[in-house]
Parts: sequence; C-alpha cells; structure tokens
Amino acid sequence: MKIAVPLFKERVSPHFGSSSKFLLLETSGVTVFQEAIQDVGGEGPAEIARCLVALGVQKLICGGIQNHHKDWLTRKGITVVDNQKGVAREVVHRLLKD
Amino acid sequence: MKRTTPQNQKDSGTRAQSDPMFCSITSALRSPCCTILESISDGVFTIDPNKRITSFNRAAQTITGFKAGEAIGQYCFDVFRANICEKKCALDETLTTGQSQVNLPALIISKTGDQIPISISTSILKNENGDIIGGVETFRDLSELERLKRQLARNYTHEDIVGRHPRMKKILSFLPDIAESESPVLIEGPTGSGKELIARAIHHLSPRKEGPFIAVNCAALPETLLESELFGYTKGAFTGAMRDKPGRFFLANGGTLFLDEISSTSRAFQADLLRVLEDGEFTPLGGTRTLKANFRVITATNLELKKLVDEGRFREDLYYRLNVVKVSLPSLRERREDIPLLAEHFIRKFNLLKDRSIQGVAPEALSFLISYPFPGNIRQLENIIEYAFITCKGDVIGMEHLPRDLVDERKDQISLLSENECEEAEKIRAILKQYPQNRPAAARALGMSRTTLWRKMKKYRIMDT
Repeated sequence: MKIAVPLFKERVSPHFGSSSKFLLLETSGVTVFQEAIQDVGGEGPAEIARCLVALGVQKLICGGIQNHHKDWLTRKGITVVDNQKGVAREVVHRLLKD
Repeated sequence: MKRTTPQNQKDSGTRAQSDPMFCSITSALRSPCCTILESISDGVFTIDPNKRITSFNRAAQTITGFKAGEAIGQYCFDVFRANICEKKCALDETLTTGQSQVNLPALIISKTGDQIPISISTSILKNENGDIIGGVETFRDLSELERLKRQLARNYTHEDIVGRHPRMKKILSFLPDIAESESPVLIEGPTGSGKELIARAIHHLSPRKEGPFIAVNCAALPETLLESELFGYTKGAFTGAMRDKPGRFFLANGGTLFLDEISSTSRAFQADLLRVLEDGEFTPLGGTRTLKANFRVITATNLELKKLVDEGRFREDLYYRLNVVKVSLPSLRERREDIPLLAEHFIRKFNLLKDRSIQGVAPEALSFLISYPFPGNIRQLENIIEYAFITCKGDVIGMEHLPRDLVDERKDQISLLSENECEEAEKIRAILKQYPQNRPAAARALGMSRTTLWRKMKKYRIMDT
C-alpha cells in the first residue's frame, strides 16, 4: 500500500495544504519496505490532493483536513486517516500496528 | 469585594497548578476570574516557552472543536491547525521579538474538518519578575462575517452551501471536478433550491474565477429583450438604440455565463443560442461584424429538461450541448434533516445583518418547520426566518413568531398531503409559472384537463400567476 503523510519538519503537518513535502511509504501489512521524503508539488490543498492522486497514493495520514478535500480524496479511492498528530514515522507505525 | 492577600495569591497560584483552566493570566489577576475568559466569545489560549498549551478557554473549544482536556499539554500547532502555523507562526514571532501581533488573518481547520477564517492577536506572558513564561493568543471566528461579505458580493463558494444530506455531500464533493473541467453544466432543481449558488460556487472554484460571472434570468425578459441583452446591439439597430451596447455573451468573455430558467426560452432563441455555443461567435443586433467570446456556460432549470425535449418544447440538440454535466438539486422536502442546519445558518446571517442575538428555534417551531413541505424550498425557509426576526423580540423563535398564514395553512390541510401530493402541487406551481395567464396551456403541459387543473389548484390552494 502506498501511504502519504504531509510533513511539518519530522511531524505530521497539522494543516493539509500547508506543506507539499510528504513522507511516502510503501507498506505490506505492518512492514514498511520503502520510504522517501518527497515534494509532491502543487500549492494549496486542492492541487496537493490532485498530486497525491496522480502519484497513486492509496492512504493519506494527516492532521487537519477540510471535509470537502477529504470527501474528494475518498471519492478518488484514497483512504484518509485525519486528526493525527506526532512524529510522522511513529504515527505511521502506530497506525499500521492498529 | 475580596481583597488581594498573600494567602489568596497563593491559593490562586496553587489552583493554577492543579486546575489547567486557572492559567497564568487568571492567576496573575489574583482571583478565580476564569469567568472573564470563559464568558468572552474570543478564543484564548496560552502556551509555555516550548509551545505546549497551558490553558484553553471555552470559546477556543467551541471554535476549534477540541475540548480543553484534549488541547492542554499538546503543541499549539497540533490543536490550532492554522495555515500560518508552519511558515509564519504568530506566537513564534512574538516570543522571538517580544512584539505583539494584532489581527493577523488566518485559516484554521476545526476538529470536524471545517475551515474557519479567524483573526489572531498575540502577546508575551511574563511572570511577576518580568521573565517571559510563554505567550497568549486570542482569536476571533470570522466565518459569519466572511460569509456575509461573500453573500453581499455574491461571491459564493462551496463553503456557503449548507447541507449534510448524502445527496448534497455528493454534489459538493463533485464540485471541484466539475469546476476544473470546461464542460457546460446543467443544474436542475425546484425553485429556491440554490441553483445560482451552485453555479457561482462552480465559477469560483474554476480556473475562470478571475473572470466575470454573468447571470441572466431568461424568464425575466421578453424574448426580443433577451436577445438584445445577450447579443448586444449596435447604435441604430432599433428605435431607442442610441449607442452600441455590448451583450452578455461579450461581457462573459473569459468567465462564466449563467443562464437561469433556460426552459422558458423559445425554440427560435434556442437555435440562436446553440449557434453561439457551437462556435463561440455572435453578431450584435444591427451589426455586421461577428464577435468572438470565450465563456463557459452554466444553465439552470426548475423543470425536467429531458421531458421538455420529449414533448418537443426544447431543442434536443441544445439539450445535449448544455447537458454535458448535470447537477440535480434535491428539494428541501427531500433533505429535511438539513432544515435545522439551514435554520441555524439563516439565524446567524440575520443576527449579523440586523445586529440581533437570537439563539435558535424552539423545539415545537423546529418540529413544525421540519414537517412543513416547503414548496418554495430554501428561499422560503430563509424568508420565514427573516419574518421571525421581525416578530421575535426575545432570544428564541417560537411558533408564535412564524408567519400566521403558514401555520394556518398547515393546520388546515397541508399536513394531510402525502409526499406525492406535495410533489404534484410543486409541479403545478412550476408549470403555471411557465405559462402565466394561460391555464389551458398549463393543463396541456401537465397532461390533465382544465377542470382537473382547477380542482387541483383549489385543493393545493395554488393561486394563478
């Protein structure tokens, strides 16, 4: 599964759309077998959301995200796990275990 | 009045440590004066030098959606979630420079995913020795003010569309895609269901948002006037044409042309419109030079356009030209669960406009509104709330503040109508509007005799237009 987490330094960005820098991970079950930090491009939440769709992201883990961006991403087949906070990698590992 | 003594200073200090709501501000004021901070409508929170929240007042909880227990101890950016947190944090600036920030605009995302425009002010917090112990941020919710500004300027965005009904949520989630495409949009929905709001929201989400949004109500103008309005005319084209006048097609160049009530146009006009939409060219009345305009067309109708095509009253080729993307808005009756939300929305709007502070609708009145069929849809609900603002002098809108005729009408018979009957009544109203002063034509369009139409108008208490 391809997971994306917007970054604020090493933490989950609290405001989706403020940061185009993402932690991108390829996972299988609870195992992360590839990860990279990448600027996905775009400015603002709508453009960043489009970039994530173009990248083939399947799950977005983020802090705050506006409902209509969440609904749009969900309709594009991306699972959105919002209202997360903390160090990005720790949050991903915790959610993978859950 | 309680005097400040070393003992009660110590008490308030102890309380500040044990009760997070008694922050350093309230402790500094030497009294359990959280009531002050708790009673104001501005959000207030304080942070320590590590940006961990140390207090979070009631308004801050209401605006952000986070409870004090969820906020205190967390990093302020994880709770506040403003668009400026990551790049231009106001508290960072204040803690670094010691300078207060006043009325900075920002956007936050609440716990429930709503974007809220706010204005922020910040200041540093010092202890009794003058040492900096953190910062304080106050913020004001500007959503209603911003919404009102947009309403006054008619710059509606998708955020102005109120509704949690699944059909509305689906439409809203499609809007960005619809807006991004250049395709013509046909909006169908009963009168007062918000068709123009949707059209304006599409425009403001689209790449043409910097261009003009030109709205024309095709039913409001006689055919000849509609042609001259849309095509424009040259000086001398007809008696009274004293100078050249650009038409709406020309004015919409680079933007969006919204044609409301498109179903009321004649087949001759439809043919002219089709030609313009196909090649983007048109000639003003009386002119010889062909003009070109690049606009996106959005049309709206309160009748089912396909049915009109089947009846031969609307050109099939134009229908397919306009109906590339169709948005079908539900009537208010079909999304009754949105009525409390909409009532609340209009109360907030009129509170701001009329400088009032009405808190809400009493349960009995709300229950009445939820069961009312609303033939005039959202516009009718808005009018009812506006009327109630005149009759209600207190804080809560009750049954006695609703329009008398509405309540009586409901008591008399509407409550006895089934869903199908309500729909039929609405259809008759729409057709009668389509054929003003021509009941035989309306009866034909409805597929019933004149006598049946008369009987049904009487039954549903529909007045002729």
